[in-house]
Amino acid sequence: MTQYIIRRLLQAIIVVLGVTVAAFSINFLAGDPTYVLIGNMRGMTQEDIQEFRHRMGFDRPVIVQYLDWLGKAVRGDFGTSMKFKQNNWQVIAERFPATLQLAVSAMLLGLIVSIPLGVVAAVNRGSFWDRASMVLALIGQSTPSFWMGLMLMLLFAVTLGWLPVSGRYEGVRSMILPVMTLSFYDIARNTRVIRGSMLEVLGEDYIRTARGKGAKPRTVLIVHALRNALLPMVTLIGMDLGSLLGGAIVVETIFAWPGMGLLTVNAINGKDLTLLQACVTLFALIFVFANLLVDFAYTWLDPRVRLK
Amino acid sequence: MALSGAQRRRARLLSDLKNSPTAIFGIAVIILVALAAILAPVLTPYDPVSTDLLTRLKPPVPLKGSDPAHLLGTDALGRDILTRLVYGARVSLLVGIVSVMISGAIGVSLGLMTGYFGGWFDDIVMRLADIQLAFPFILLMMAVMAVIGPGLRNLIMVLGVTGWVTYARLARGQVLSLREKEFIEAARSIGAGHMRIIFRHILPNALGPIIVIASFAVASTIISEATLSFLGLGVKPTTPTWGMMLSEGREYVRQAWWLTTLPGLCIAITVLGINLLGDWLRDVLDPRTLLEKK
Amino acid sequence: MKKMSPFLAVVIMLSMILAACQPAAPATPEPTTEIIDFNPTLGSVQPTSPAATQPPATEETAAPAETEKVADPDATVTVALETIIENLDYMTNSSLNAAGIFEMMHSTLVTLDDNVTLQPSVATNWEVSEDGLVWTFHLRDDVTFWDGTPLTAEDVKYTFERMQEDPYNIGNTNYLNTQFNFDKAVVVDPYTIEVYTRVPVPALLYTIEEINILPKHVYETLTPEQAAAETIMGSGPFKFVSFTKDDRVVLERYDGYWEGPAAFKTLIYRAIPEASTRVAELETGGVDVIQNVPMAQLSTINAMPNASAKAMINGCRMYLGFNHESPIYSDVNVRLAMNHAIDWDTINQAFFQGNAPRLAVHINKPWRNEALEPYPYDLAKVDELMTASGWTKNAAGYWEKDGQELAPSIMVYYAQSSERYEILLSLVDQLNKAGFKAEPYYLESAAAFEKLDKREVDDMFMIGSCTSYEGQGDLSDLAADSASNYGRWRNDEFEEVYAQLLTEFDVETRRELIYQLQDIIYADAPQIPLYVMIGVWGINNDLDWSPNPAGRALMYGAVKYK
Repeated sequence: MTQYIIRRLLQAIIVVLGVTVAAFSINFLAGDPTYVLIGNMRGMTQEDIQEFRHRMGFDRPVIVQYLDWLGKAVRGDFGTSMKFKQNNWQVIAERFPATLQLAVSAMLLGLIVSIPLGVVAAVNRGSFWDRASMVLALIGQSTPSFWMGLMLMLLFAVTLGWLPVSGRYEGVRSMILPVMTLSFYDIARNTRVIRGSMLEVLGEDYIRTARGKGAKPRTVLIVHALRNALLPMVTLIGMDLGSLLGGAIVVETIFAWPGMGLLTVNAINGKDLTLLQACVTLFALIFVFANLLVDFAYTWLDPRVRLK
Repeated sequence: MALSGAQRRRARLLSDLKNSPTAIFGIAVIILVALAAILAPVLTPYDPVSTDLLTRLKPPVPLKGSDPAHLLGTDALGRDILTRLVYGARVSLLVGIVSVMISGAIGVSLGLMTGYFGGWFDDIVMRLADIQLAFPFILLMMAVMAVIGPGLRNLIMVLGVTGWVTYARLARGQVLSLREKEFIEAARSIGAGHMRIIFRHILPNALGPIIVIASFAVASTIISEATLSFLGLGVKPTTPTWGMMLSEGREYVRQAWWLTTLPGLCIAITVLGINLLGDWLRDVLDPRTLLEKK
Repeated sequence: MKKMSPFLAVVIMLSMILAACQPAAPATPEPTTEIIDFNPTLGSVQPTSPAATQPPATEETAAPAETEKVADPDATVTVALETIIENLDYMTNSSLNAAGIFEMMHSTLVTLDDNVTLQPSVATNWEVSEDGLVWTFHLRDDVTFWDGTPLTAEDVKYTFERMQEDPYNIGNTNYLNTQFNFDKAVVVDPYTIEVYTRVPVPALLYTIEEINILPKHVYETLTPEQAAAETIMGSGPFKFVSFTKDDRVVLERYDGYWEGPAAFKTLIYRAIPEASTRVAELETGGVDVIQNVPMAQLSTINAMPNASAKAMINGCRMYLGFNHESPIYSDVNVRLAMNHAIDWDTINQAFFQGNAPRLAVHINKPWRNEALEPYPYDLAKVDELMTASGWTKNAAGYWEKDGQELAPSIMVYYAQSSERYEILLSLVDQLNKAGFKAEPYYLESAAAFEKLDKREVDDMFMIGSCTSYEGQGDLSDLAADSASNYGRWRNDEFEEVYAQLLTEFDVETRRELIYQLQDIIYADAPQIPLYVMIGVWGINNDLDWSPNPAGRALMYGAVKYK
């Protein structure tokens, strides 16, 4: 087991390295980074531009630039944000809690809603509840989140006046609409996946064996079936984190929620390259960490995976 | 636990279909949408890109102020919505289905093989997957589309190639839980080759969740297409797609609900059809549910 | 001037720098207001305000005309903008919205009034030396910073010098510097300062107008990082309270403001990027003012019981440009024909309720030659012009020559403004119906501007140009060696007259030259001029406020009723 964990950790480091290469190459996405950075100080002469290029170190070989950047990044120095004139880590540290709050709430809401829905739908296959939850899943799945967000806003904030329209000033009340919007897609998808794998597990030999032995239906359901049915869910949760962080881009824009999504979008729009690199690296770190957890969870849930 | 022969399966498929009204409904929806897409020029006299600013924002027919010439009304540029819906079916279906097929084919094959063989191959593929997943989708899209340029073919390629990870991981997870099963051992002990084991024994058993995810992916791809098109990174702005209609209409949601509701309904109904078909396929493709029913 | 909205920022920046690169524009006899007659409200022409040497206009803290409404001095006014400030140092912020917010916290020597006319502010009056190189400003002695310290000539000198320093000489400040041509500042006495420029800068006051005076005693000890993140001190009508990035800035009335305290207590600027969200906030009373209302939602706002919309022309002119190095578009007949293929009146009625008439040339008032009529929509004329150039219509109805269809691709950069998007699609369709197989394509804005700057646009492009209120700046978009001449139009006659304009001092002669240049442009049709953009604001009925023609959300004069 220890060996397994070490192996996974090594893999994670490789991924992080790969991600840093990709994050660093953001510099070159829009062509010459010099050009991107001087975009808002034109009127410079060619000499000025050369001088600027030299000062920024863009005239060095790419590999040297990368190692330099990586060296600083390892020490937590992602440079200064062009926009905010502040250390990038500091900028992110201010913004991250807002997104974490949304993403974790949305994930929890997603699980709380989708697991019972999926199980009930599977157990009562073909019933009203099955169909109702599938319709819900359908709506969630076929509605773009910008649209869903605007509709929820119109209904709950404008027409009914129950909740604030946007912002992050009223605690839980402010969170309800963004979290609903953000989790809607996941609820829909996860309900279906759980229903699907539940149905599959319920057909397995060991479930029938357990039933045959006269175990209580409830015990069979929870101890035997659900635990195995959650296996594909675990994979999805790891990936959900990525889609939640990505989904935050849309939701935060709609609800004017000052988190990482808005920060990233503005960094892209404002060509704040160092900030963008820092954001992407952070997303990546979270992701890698989450996937490590997923892999460990796998081994816990399904000992058969623990092979070597 | 041997699988039924191909013929028996086909026969079972058909008899199963007859017993499943939801599957028939799903297939009917898909056929209907596909027909609308193919017959678009026959179904409507209008050009989907031709504007007429004098008849803009007309509501659908039974409503007050509607124009009988435009059954489902017109959009902000006076384009006929029915026309755009049927033409949009073409592009949306094409984008959704083809890109999901591409990513599904890539992802499932890679996932099955990495899960089955493990080792360094597994390591490389899964690390690549992790690296790609670590980037927010929109950012990845913006990068790639900015380099290769907008357009229908490029969009399908990008959506197809970047979507593989979900399938790969899911398929791999399925293989991991399946490959030590007795029937795989059995197949191995009677000398079945790796490829045979993977594609004849593991794949059918792993297909359930994959089909469910794929049927959803068709929908989410149609929606991704909307987001990307609106960013100018999808199809050309003149190409009608449902997703494009949805995002174009959002500014008018308070005064002309039909601009978004109608394409939204089209997406929902099509997705419903695909899902019902997917559900049914899952049932009939999964040998265990077959056993259960016997 | 300046950036009218985020998506236009780059255009404006370009055109401004361009103006700065030109030889010094002529010194007008009196260094007072430029000949400005900017039409601030839709449909009405306002008279030019007279010289800037008048005493400062006293702020009318409007008492509402015979209503039972009562002003609420403790009120909070919330303004929803697309973006807010990025950090606390105004010199390192570049957006128009940030300029407006900082203007509420700082003072300037001179200011623009609602007619975009220069007015005295901290400087009561000023004079310029004979050679146009030395400006002497006389300052008020009753201006204080929030900490009570008086604002003196030392602070002005410090501010001008700080602008030149490396960490601050970027973005908009860099642009201001290129216009400023600052040499040195000499403090004559605490309330008199001499400003030396390296070349005569007749439009200097338009630059000075944007320079907020910082207190020397606070800022000289701050590092750039501290000035950006920790401390802010000004002398404007509102004191800084708090700032959350991409979220909001909270300000509070400064009771010691020299023009008198504002009529309400708290001022909040919120960043709400999505237009529909801003509209919803206005409707629910969450905010009092919203910026950039999409034309599509105008009727929604006007139907609200608690709010209404106000529109303001903002000086940015949209046009379709040609690649003049292409053999097809270097033919004047093709360009004229495409100009005649556009049925602007229909577009104007559909999207602007008739408020955005077509331009004949892309020049702002008052320099616009009103004698020129916009090219009429005339398909017969299109046929005539195209046939004259040897084009024939093929079976598909498109113009064709030597087996080659006339199929212009039109580059646009993405902007979250559906109205602009819809206008583009309408234009494309109109061109198609006239036989031009036009096809738009979208690029992300940085990519689009790189393409424009490198002159890599194949056929056509759609763009907005927001230059200064001076005709010369507008015309510079077409000067051969100008950075914003993306289409590379070159016309020798134009160049000759333009060269004269750059050295001409006399105002009347300048006007004649500018009219003459417009005649040349009109005849050669180097662009398809479209319209002057309109900024729409949504305002709560309990708030007495009018948008500012420069596009900034200046809230000092606003009154909120109970």
